[in-house]
Amino acid sequence: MTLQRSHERVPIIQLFDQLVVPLQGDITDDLADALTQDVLERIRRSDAAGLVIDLTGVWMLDSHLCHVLSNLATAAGLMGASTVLCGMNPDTALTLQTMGIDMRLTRTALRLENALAMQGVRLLTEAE
Amino acid sequence: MIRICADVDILAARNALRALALDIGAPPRTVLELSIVVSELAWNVLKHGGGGHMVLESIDDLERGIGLRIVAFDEGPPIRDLVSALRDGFDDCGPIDPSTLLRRGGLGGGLGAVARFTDALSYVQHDGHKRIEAVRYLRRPSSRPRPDARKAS
Repeated sequence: MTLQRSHERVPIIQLFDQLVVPLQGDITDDLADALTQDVLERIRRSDAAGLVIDLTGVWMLDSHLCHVLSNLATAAGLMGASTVLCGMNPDTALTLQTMGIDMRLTRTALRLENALAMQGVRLLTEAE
Repeated sequence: MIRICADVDILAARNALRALALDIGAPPRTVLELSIVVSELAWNVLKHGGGGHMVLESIDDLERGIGLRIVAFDEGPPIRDLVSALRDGFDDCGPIDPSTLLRRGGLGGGLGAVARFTDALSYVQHDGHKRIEAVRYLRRPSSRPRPDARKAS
């Protein structure tokens, strides 16, 4: 079972000084543990200033996954990396609201570009 | 019947729910909400009950029409205070201290979410067995009290 699932890893993409984590599908406990471990390790190795978690591929956010994400964001914060969540779909946003999960402490953005802009990544045009 | 012994079983329960909900023609939003209900109940079975099982079935009530029934069974410790457990940020002993939030492995919002996403919730404990049943109808009954009901209270 572990062997079969060990290839299932969430990719962590480094973009400038940010780490982008596109979450997808169902996140099991093992996967969540591995993800938290990997991301924190990458923050340490790469000196990343921030973490952007993209939820576009997540169809359901239950309180367990919210807890995993808030733990990850808190731990990343302790290491000096700020976290932004992005890509939440309308249904997920509405259900979180009904569930009473307080995300006010978490910074969120609509799309990946907005999230990166929030983290201080700027697009320089040629004129500049 | 779906055995809940590991976190992969929760995925199986969620998938079974999705198939069942689509089968009775539930809209996407309802499927999402009920998946969360299954997920929260299954996590409770796993975390507090040390494993157990769930039963998912479609129902056709003469009065209320088509719906889904989600039942979770486990043999864990009983819920001490149901009213408290239903509140967000509370567990069955009262408010959750924010400083212990990271350690306890949950936000305390699970059962409250279950209650809001369903139309009927019942909890029975007997002889070390615990049973939580949640029912959701496709046409949700109005949550507003009827005028005559208000007069009576």
